[in-house]
Amino acid sequence: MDIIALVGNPNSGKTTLFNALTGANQHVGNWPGVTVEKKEGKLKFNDSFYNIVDLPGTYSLGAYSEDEIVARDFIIKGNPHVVINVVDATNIERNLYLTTQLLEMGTKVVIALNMMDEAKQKKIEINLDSLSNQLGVPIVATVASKRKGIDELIEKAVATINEDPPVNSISYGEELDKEIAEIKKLLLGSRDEKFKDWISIKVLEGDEEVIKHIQENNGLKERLIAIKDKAVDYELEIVNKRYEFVNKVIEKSIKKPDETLVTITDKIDKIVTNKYLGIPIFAIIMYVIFQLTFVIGEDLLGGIVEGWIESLGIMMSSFLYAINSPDLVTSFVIEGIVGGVGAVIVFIPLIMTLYFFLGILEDTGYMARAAYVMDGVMRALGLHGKTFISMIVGFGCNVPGVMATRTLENKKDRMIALLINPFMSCGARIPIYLVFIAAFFESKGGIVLFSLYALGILVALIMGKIFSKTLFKGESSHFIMELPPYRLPSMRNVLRNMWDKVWDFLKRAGTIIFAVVTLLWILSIFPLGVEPYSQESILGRIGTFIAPIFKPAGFGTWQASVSLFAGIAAKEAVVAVLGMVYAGGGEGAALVSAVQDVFTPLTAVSFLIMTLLYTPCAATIATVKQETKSYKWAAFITIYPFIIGWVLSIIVYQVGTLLGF
Amino acid sequence: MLKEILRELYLSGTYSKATIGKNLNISENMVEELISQLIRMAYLKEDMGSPTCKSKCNGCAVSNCNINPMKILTVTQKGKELINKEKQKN
Repeated sequence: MDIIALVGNPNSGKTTLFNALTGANQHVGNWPGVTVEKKEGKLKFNDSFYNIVDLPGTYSLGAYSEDEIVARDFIIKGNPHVVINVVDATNIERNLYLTTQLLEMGTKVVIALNMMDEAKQKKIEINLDSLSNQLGVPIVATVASKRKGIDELIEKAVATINEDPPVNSISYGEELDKEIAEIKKLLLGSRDEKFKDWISIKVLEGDEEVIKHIQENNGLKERLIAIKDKAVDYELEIVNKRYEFVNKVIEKSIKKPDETLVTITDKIDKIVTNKYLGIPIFAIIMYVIFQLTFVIGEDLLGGIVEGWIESLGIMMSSFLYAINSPDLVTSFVIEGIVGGVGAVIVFIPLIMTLYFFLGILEDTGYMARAAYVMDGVMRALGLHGKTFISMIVGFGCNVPGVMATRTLENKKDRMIALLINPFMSCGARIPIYLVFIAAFFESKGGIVLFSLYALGILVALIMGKIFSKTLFKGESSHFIMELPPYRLPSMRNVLRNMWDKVWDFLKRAGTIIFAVVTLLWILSIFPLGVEPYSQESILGRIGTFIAPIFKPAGFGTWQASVSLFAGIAAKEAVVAVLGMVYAGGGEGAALVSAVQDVFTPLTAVSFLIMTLLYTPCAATIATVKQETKSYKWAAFITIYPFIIGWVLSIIVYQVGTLLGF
Repeated sequence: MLKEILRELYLSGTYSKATIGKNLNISENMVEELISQLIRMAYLKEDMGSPTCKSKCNGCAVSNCNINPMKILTVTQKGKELINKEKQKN
């Protein structure tokens, strides 16, 4: 029974074609010695049966993977009578590279140019005759999923069995062609004569499997020793010539629609990645996003969730009163849950709006440009450009931000990126900013929020520079980043991304924040008999113990101190605690009003700087420990940001006081 | 073509398939394929710009995967040696 092998790139529709050819007559096993799946089936055509073998999907027939070795071994040793090369018509450039290697093998080939319907949809025009003439093999257009062209393909494949194999018309350049001819001579009369063309090329490519195979051929061994120094050059040159051949074939046979978006992308990039304009444009875009966040999130949507939480609080309060619930339970539900967790939840509209706009920015492809324009600044500071990418990730959350530093191979670059990431203002800190902005800077919300983010970046860059000059000296390595074409953002993507973030925020409010609030509520009512949330409670005593540290920064109250302490568990807990201890169960407007009573604009700025820069949350500290495998660095990331935040907030408060603010 | 792409990537620090394609007079698909080949041959190494897609954060509010992760390449030692060799030749 004649054998027909199917070979092609992954996702070229090879398996669909195999199913179309064999129907139910197939069985699945494994290739000997490897875990690669082997699929075989029977095809009946003109009263004859053919064995169809589906080879593993592969981009090349080198020795880089098991799949490649299995596929090429079968073509060499399995003696298929004809090979059907399945080529994806929508991505011919990639697929024809494999075809060139089949031509080098001298095997009989028929090309199934598959997915022709998709190629038509993409307005790709393919001249089949020209393509066939240049490759020297028959080509049949197919749509395997719709069984189109299958009968013609079978007919052509069966006819090819009795024809001569194609001639490889690729020229590898004068030097290599001469070398190939020399090696071919050495293979004459040997057991490998049948595949002398292919073996000559593979030997020059430095294919270890093939070189091992020809070890008994002394003449060839000597030849290889003589050209050993050129091996790397030869490998690259052979691959290069294959691509040049593919490119030439494509130029003559394929027409694609003009990609006008490319020009638009280029034009936009000339401005947004400009050496001088790039960073100001990035700053303006971020500023506009923060402004829009306030206009839409606060002014338009802000009252909705707050109204719900207020109504819920009134309902719960009336219900608990009606059922004569014990004071402790009422206190826990109203002051603990509604006041604490509710104080975090009321900021959802703003968070939703911010991530909606950041999602748009990301989906258009602009974020890659932002990282690129910042690359110059990073390099000037002795930092790796990739550091800024981990910083952008840190804007969402510092935990993945720290993890993103894994892409930095150089230990020096990685450690710096990791240690400065907690200065990036994560989403969990937003509720804190929003409470204080609403209390003191309502008309300048956008600029305050923008300034906090900018300050975080600035402190990170300064610390990065200091680290690169002290703790981690050395050269930064080079990286390359793709600038994808701009595209219109997909609303589905943006909304899904926004919802994912809001949902995570809600989940967190219901778990970690709830746990922290419960613990703090317990601490606030003990020892029994004291006024809840008073200075005499355990919570009050902890706060009173810490408070003197923050006195020079202007917020040395036990309430502010204990909120910062709770913020190490999770940053949102700062607002939850303020809601519990200041507003006594009130959230939103009640909390804002309470904050206005105990803070001044200056102490508010000082407190905001502290919350932006001080010790990262427990999850980030644990991630630093996990990533560095060192308690020393975990301790360092706990202490040094605290010192930076503390010193800066003291400076701001003291200088502000001197200036009369 | 492979050497030209490697050199272009190394010198620019950033790339768009469209620009490289235009400079070398080849299609974007071809640029993508050549970059993939350089990665297969270990002249380039590909990183995930944002590993948040692979490693979920366990304790954070906003830990989801990036919508449009950035593609980042690094020139390997083998790649740098080739570039230097070409420089010396010229």
